[in-house]
Amino acid sequence: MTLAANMSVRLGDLDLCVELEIAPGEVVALLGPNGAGKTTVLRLLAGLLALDEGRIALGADEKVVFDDPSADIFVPPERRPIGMVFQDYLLFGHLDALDNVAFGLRARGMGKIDARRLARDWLERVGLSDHAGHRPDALSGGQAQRVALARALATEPHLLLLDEPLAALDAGTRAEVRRDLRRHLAGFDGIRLLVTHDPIDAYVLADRVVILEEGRITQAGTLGEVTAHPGSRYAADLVGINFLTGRLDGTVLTTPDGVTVVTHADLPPGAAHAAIAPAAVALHRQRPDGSARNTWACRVAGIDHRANRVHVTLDGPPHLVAEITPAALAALGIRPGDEVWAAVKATEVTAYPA
Amino acid sequence: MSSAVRRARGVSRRPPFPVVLVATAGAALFVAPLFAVVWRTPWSDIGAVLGDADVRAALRLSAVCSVSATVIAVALGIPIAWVLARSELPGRQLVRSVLILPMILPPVVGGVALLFAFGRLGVVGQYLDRWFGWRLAFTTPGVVLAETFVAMPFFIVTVEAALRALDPAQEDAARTLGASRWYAFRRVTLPAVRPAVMAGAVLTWARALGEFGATITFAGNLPGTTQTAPLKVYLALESNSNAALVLSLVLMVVAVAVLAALRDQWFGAPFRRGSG
Repeated sequence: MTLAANMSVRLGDLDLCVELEIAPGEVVALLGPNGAGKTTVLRLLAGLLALDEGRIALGADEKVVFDDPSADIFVPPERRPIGMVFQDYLLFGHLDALDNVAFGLRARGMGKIDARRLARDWLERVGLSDHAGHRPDALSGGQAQRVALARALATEPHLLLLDEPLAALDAGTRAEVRRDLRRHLAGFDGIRLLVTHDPIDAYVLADRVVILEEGRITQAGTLGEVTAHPGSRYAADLVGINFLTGRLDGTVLTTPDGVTVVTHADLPPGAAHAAIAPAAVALHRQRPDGSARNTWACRVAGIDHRANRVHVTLDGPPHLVAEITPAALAALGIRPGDEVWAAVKATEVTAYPA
Repeated sequence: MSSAVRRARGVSRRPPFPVVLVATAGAALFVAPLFAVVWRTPWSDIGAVLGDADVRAALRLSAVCSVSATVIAVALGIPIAWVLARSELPGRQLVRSVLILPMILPPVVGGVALLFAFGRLGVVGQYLDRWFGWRLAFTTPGVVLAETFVAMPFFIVTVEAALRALDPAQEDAARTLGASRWYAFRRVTLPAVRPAVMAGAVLTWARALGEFGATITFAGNLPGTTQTAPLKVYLALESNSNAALVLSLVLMVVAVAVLAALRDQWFGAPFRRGSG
């Protein structure tokens, strides 16, 4: 079952226009800043919103059409083979965990006894057999998420939609729940579409990422591809890569604010992006006269300690993040507001067409 | 010295003396009449008064009519509250105002309005009489209608507020699980507002039980047919004040029981728990 969706909708400030194709068995992460339209995409696929224009279809020959305004087709959510895990789970407060999981089966006409037996199996699968009789307010965040997942999977959907399934959890439990989620998602063979704003989620859970900004897809590919060649500032920030964009002529990229960067590109002239890994940015108190082809006078905007590394944010132009060791930081003796020279070798600057 | 130190350590939140004085006087306004009824009740006559056929008829009629009015209010009020809470129709505010008006309308005026609408010669009533032979004015169904008219707004207001507070995303979740709108309404929305439905029904019932003005205007005061307990109290005051006191005491006890029930866990706890 392939999902082919060509979605166009206007909602308040959001003007969404997205084309999405997901292969059978694929896990896709939809990443994007707040307000980009990620949740709207899920709601369109679920049928909680209708398309203005476009078409959503599922199946080998796009046989099952969910929504097609031009053909006057709209299948309501209850008749789509979908499962959805909502950001705050939306478990039913008046039902215990077992009846929450059984809800979809009951709504589709299954008898109470059969539905409960199946629901019990699902709770066991997510490791919550002991919590069958608990109401949602007696479950921890991670447990509630697993009940929500079991509830969505119990009806055996072809398309599983997850809206920020880890956002409501505190940082301490997130890693563990993420690992469990990976295991449960692996056991489901339909199409899985996951909305997140955390690249770690995408890295752990997804085969492919789609980046959505202001209602448009700005990049799609594996996380490795995005890291190597981020297509936008948002994508670059997401994967922690320095990003410059401008016009390339020969090996020199010139940004709109006048910064020139020597790259190791071999591209025809034209609009291009350049990516620089933070670890490739060296910092010096004095203007360096070594082999580095790119040197810029910057001001230290912030210093951020992360594990055994230090991220130094620089105000430019260009804006850069340099990753150095704590020892290097101590040797430099810099503080926010200090002048500093940033140096990057041309071989560390990857240029690619915009 | 020590008192000065103590005063400096914290700001007193006690209300100033004049406020306490006025508040006490105001509270006495409520306590004194209730106390008077209890004080003057002829405890030894209670059995005789409650054994009186007219008093029993009035109590029975009150019970039947107020419960009927409550059932009608719940059956009609839930759909009304739902539409008011969820629909985006342009005239919604106006409709709400009209439906809630009986809460603040003098009940006698309500009775007059009912008479001109559903009386034997009323705008609607003449056809009910001509076509179906139904007469509402001065009948027991008329009592039920008057009580429903006055009391139902309490139910609508309570349930509408709860429906508004409910996260509509709960219904979205139900829909993605295969629930039709009707199934989602029955299995998700209604259970979530159950505490409000209960509280609204109790308030409505209490208001219907105490109804006087609209009832006497529209349904009259016929013993056994339209003479409810409050009407009987009023009438008994002229001739037999003991009966008036005993009946008043009964109605007071019911009111206290309603208050207690509303504070009870049955109503309180699910409210606190929220919509889940």
